[in-house]
Amino acid sequence: MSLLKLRYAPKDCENCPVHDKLNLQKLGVNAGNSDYVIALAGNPNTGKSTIFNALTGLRQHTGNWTGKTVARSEGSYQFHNKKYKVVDLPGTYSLISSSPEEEIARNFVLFGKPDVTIIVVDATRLERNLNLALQMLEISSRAIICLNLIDEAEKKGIRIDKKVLSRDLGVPVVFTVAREQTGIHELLASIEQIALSEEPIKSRDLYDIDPKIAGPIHELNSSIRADFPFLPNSKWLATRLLDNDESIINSFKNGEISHLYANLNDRAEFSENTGVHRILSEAEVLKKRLPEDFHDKLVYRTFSEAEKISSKATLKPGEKKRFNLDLFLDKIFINPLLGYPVMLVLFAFMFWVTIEGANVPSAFLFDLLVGTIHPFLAELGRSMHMPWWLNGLLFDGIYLATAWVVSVMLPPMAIFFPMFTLLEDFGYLPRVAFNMDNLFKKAGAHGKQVMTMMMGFGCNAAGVVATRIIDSPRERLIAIITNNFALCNGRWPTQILVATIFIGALVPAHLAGFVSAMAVVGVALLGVFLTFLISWGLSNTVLKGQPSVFSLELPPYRIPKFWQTLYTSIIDRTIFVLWRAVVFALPAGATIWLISNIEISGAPIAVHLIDFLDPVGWFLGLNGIILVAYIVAIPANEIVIPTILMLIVLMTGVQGYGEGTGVIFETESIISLEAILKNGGWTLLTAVNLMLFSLIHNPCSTTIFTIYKETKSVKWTLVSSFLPIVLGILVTASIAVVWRIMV
Amino acid sequence: MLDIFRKKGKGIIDSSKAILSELIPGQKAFIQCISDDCKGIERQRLMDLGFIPGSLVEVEVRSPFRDPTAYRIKGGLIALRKNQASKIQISLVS
Repeated sequence: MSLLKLRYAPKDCENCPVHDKLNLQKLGVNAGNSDYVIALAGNPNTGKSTIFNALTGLRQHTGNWTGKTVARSEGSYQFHNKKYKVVDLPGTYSLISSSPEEEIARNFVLFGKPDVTIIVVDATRLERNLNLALQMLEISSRAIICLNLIDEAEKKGIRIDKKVLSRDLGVPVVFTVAREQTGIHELLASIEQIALSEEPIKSRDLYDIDPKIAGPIHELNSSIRADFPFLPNSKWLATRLLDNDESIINSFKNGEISHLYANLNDRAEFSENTGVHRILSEAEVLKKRLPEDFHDKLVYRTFSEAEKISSKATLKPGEKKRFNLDLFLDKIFINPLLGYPVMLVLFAFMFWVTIEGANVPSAFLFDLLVGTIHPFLAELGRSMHMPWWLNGLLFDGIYLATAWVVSVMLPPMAIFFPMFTLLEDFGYLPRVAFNMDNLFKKAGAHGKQVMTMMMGFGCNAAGVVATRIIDSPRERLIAIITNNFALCNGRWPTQILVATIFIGALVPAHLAGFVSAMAVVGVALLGVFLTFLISWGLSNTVLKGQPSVFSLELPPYRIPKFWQTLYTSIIDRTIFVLWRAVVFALPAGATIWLISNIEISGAPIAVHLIDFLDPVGWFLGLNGIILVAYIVAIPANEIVIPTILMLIVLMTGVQGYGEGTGVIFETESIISLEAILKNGGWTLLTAVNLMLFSLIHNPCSTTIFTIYKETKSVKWTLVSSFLPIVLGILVTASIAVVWRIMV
Repeated sequence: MLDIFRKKGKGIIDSSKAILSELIPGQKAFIQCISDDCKGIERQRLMDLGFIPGSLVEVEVRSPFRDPTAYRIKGGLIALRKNQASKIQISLVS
């Protein structure tokens, strides 16, 4: 111990914070010029992200569903002229079940050696949360317990004694209500105190219930300490070695464990030390003395200590009978009779508000971006004597397609995502997963997939990102591959338009609106059916396997903070998705303009393409124009209809529409639109198959890119892209065949 | 408690004892053990969620199809599918 103290002499410490800069970089965090690195750990759904926001001022989205932060987010703040970098770790229940999230969290605290680790604990579920807290404290004592949601706990009649808790855990305890910013200043002061302190990292000893396991742990610990006196948390390491923890065994073998040392000289010493082998083989010998259920006993040990500490620190453990707004709401939302109707009404309402509400702002944006700014830009180009092709490419191609995507996509998303987020923050979505799990189970999938589908109705790229909440890889992959069958915002306009013109026209005028709406709902439901069918198919073929662990936490209901929700969901969902869409719309706009304006042997490239694809189109009950539009509109489904219109005009040469070759446009009225489409040879078959094809085709490039980023696998990205398109070809082709025989 | 049970049952589900999937709303029970054929990450996950010997558990709500079921355990509300709950042995609190 005295040696340890020497190493951390105050003089050294001033220049050398605890955190390991090099190793942090390896873990993907650039400590940069920050003075201290702070890690934020905790169970899922404890308000960890809210604490993160309160500290950094960043508006990270904080959903009331378990497992929101899967990747790490970082932010920073200044306090008393020192810069702090805050790293939000994934929420986990424990640190030893070797799921990727747990490994991220554990390795960060172990090898990154943050100067301070904040362990966020939900005050309403102290005992449950202390399990993780104790595991964290075994790794590092430079920690603070942040007891959040203290207001909710008080409402439930739970009172916690801060001093007792702090004494028993050996670290400071701070009470917070992060949503209200309560206690944040005290938290900042506590962080500072620990960051400035010269206390070396230590390991909190767990109290051992069972001498049969305590003995071997103690023996191995002594050997480790004899060989490597500067290793902090040696007892924890001994326990992990005995528990057969692959990643810790490997870090001993490859010398990574030396990073736990405070300075480089010691590390050199470590690599010369031949003790590693001896320790590993000693661990092997000791393992034989351990009881069969060693691992269970370790878990049990932590839990029973958590129970002891929590019951000592809790003054009135839940004396008040929980009124149970939660139970009451669950009785409604999970009722066998009411549950599904309530769900359907809520979602129908949400979609209706999105579609209806988007009309006015969409029209406004369209007027502004396309009606006003576009002619202005084109005129500007002419007055600057820009060559016609540059003017066309820039303003008629790139600008117009982008403006189109923004005006069609932004309003519905800015309405849909906040509503979705409100339901999410309220805690309703996990109940939907709970209600629907049975069906997903039959398809070999995970109930949480329904939440990702819901998100997919807004935007498939966002839906694919949302699959992170599914913790088993097999089920997550199923959710990613099938997300495209959730009819996204970008495809609704096509559906509604085509249904109005062709399906609504089949019935008397007063029924037209209803029937065409039902046709769109029918397509969306077909998408849901296909999701189940494909999930089932995948889990019985290529993704065969035992359904992995299903567990779903149903968090307490919480009244969402309206304005904050609105703000964060617009910032991190709407803008994020819109930005990606814009990036992909730029080249699409250029391509559309170029293929309509570059002529090869007397005709634009587009015409050659259309002629070439016409037979294929006919075979699918579509036509060449639709296929070309779909190919160039892979980046963004929003521009399919305007591109189709532009191409029809280009092909048929109808007069009086559009503004020139390669300029995508929309007509003023449904009637002129109908005229254009009929002029292009469209029939009811074309309409039906277009609606189906719009549901069942490859994801847009934004989504494909997102799938690649999430799966990091070319193979699964290709499967996700080609499976729907092949299915779409099969479906439309068979309908075309049957149709032509029957009609 | 763990030890007593281990000596007798060795974690093999004893058919004369109750299992969690048979617990009905309104009843309370203590977790006795997780079956030995529930291994690896599945076992670990159940334990992490608080399904460890000695925990008090009750059924709070069943989904409309009666599977999964949400259990109140250690202050949290955790949903498990029937096939998982059937691997957890309990003793009823009278």
